[in-house]
Amino acid sequence: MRKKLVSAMLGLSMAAGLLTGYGGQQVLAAESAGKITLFCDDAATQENFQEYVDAAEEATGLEIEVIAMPTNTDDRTAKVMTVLSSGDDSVDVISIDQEMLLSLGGTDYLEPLDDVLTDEVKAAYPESFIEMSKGKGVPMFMEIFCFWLNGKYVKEAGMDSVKTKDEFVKYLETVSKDGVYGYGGGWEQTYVWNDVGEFVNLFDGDLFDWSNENTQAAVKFMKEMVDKKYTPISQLADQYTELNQRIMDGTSASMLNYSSFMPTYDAAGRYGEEDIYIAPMLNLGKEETYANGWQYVLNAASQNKDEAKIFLNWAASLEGQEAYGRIFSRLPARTDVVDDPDFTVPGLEQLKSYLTDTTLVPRPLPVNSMEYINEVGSLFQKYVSDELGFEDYIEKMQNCMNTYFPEETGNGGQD
Amino acid sequence: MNTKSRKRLWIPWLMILPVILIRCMTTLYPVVMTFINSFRNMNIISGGTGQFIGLDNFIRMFQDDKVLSSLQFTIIFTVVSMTFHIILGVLLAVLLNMKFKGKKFLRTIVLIPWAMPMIVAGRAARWGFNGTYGFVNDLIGRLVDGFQFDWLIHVDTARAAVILVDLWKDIPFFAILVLASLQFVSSDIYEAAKIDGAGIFKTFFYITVPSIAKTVMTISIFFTMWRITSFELVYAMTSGGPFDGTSVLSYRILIEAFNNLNLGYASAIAVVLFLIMLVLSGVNLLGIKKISD
Repeated sequence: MRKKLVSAMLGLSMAAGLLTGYGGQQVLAAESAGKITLFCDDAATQENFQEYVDAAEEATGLEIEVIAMPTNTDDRTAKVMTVLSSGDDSVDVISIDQEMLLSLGGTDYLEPLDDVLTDEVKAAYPESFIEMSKGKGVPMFMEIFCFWLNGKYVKEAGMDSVKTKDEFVKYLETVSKDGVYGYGGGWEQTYVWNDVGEFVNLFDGDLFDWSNENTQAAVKFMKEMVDKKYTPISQLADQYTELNQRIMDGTSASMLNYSSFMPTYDAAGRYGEEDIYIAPMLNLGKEETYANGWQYVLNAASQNKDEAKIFLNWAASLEGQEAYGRIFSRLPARTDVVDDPDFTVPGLEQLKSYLTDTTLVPRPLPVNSMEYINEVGSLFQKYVSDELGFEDYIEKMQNCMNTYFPEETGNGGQD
Repeated sequence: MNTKSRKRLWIPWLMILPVILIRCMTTLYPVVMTFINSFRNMNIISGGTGQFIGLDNFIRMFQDDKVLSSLQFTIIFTVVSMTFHIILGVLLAVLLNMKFKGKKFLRTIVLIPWAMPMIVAGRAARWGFNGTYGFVNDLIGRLVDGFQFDWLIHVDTARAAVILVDLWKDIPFFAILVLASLQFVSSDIYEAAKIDGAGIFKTFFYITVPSIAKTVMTISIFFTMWRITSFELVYAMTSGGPFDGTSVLSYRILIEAFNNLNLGYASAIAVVLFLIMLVLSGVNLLGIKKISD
């Protein structure tokens, strides 16, 4: 009798469990009507993100649920790729960086946004940003890879500006002492490709051609900075988190880093010409730098595509872009917002000088961008650590470019 | 078994059917699919549509420096870490089995590292071994004036740092499991050995070691498997760097599957990892059988 009772109880509890699960799904489905879920990097990094959500909800009438994205590149990429490749429909709109956008643009995981990216909307954005999105992304903001200086050290070096190669070398020589390094980078394997590409830009080199003297001079210069202790070798383990700490502490006196870090320094009360600030871009042969930006994309598995497009329409609009730039103190991707004399964010004047005086180029990335980034990082780390000689490094970099950019190198991907 | 009882056999089968179905869906299906996918081109970024490509993924794997480097470090990591787990774990267990004041307190606090999530330990270790801000250099610097070393930028020292953190984190758990086994060894045996004039070392090697050998072998199977499949520490602490020197096979699978979206290739690596684990488990089980006999 007792066994029968136990069997009946177990059966009942199993049935109850199944029914509860089913009921729960029904409740969730009912709650998600008229509402979208935003999976966003800013939610994890911007303290006032709720202000942006409030503005979006007020403008669109939507209820927006937010899930914060991991801030570490590897974690973030793995998480986004898992969500999209598994057909997870728990998130509707996702913020992704250029690397992920290039990898995912050609897949079916992202919904085309032709009805959001109308000709009128496209015209308001830099062409490279629209090309980058492949019709599947709404640009959120513009990030410029800027030259940052510490005013205290500029003053100490008795310099008015640090712009040309001679001035930059003099700055490095003068301030690199007593535990201070003239230059700091985030040279961890998945980060250093930014610096490699940017130094090649600044030396007027060609990333696709490693027989180019200027390309070679750029990486030689980077290695020399390590050998002459103008920059610490320890930064091979550092991402931008550690780099920002070094800049804050004053152990690194300059860096090349994204403009989107400006609010971090501003919030810490450290942004300004007496302290840490964005200086006009270096010109070591050419004044050219990367412009990048995050974009909102729509999960193809989303069950709330119409609602998500309401949000995306707002995010792409003048009003949405102005709200984004104002709330997060960032440079909006829409050029008409930046041109608006009433619009202001800290450091806007310096950033405007980049828009007018510096050649802005998109970062060259292949579709399998993460694999490429790792390869470039790994080779550079080996070169700087003397695991690879200069000639070997140059040869391997050329092979790497031939593999990942067969069209640009004219190699047809044979290597 | 009478006819009535036999007829009722369907009741327990019915009761466990949901569990079997769930197990099939969550374990059997993924394992079978991993084997199947390892023979297919599932590089989503390059437009792979799952076409059968035979052994191509496996051939590529053994020509891929990154996978070979990961295989090398997986072996080093597992062998070195397990060697120290066994030596230090047994010594710690013996220490915790001794009678001394504060033993209970020590037994409690020794488990703290184990209770910490690996990701947290890994992120903390990333800063701990940082050349500029790390406490490791700071501690050594208090003993050796002017000491400064960049642990995570050289392959050898980065590997050593990863293994050290792994040992710090998991040896206590290993020791507690061995301690449980030690507590079953009767104190009469030790007393008899003492009366017979056996010293500390003889007692350890002729009484303690044989008494706990089977337990150590058994838990070593699990600890070895955990070492082989563990990727969280490398993920959080070094991201596989410098220049892929600390990447383990399970981390490489993660990168291939979720960063490079090359599911077929990742499956092939997973199959090889599975086979390695199968062989190691077999060897270990044979060892246990030999000890039992």
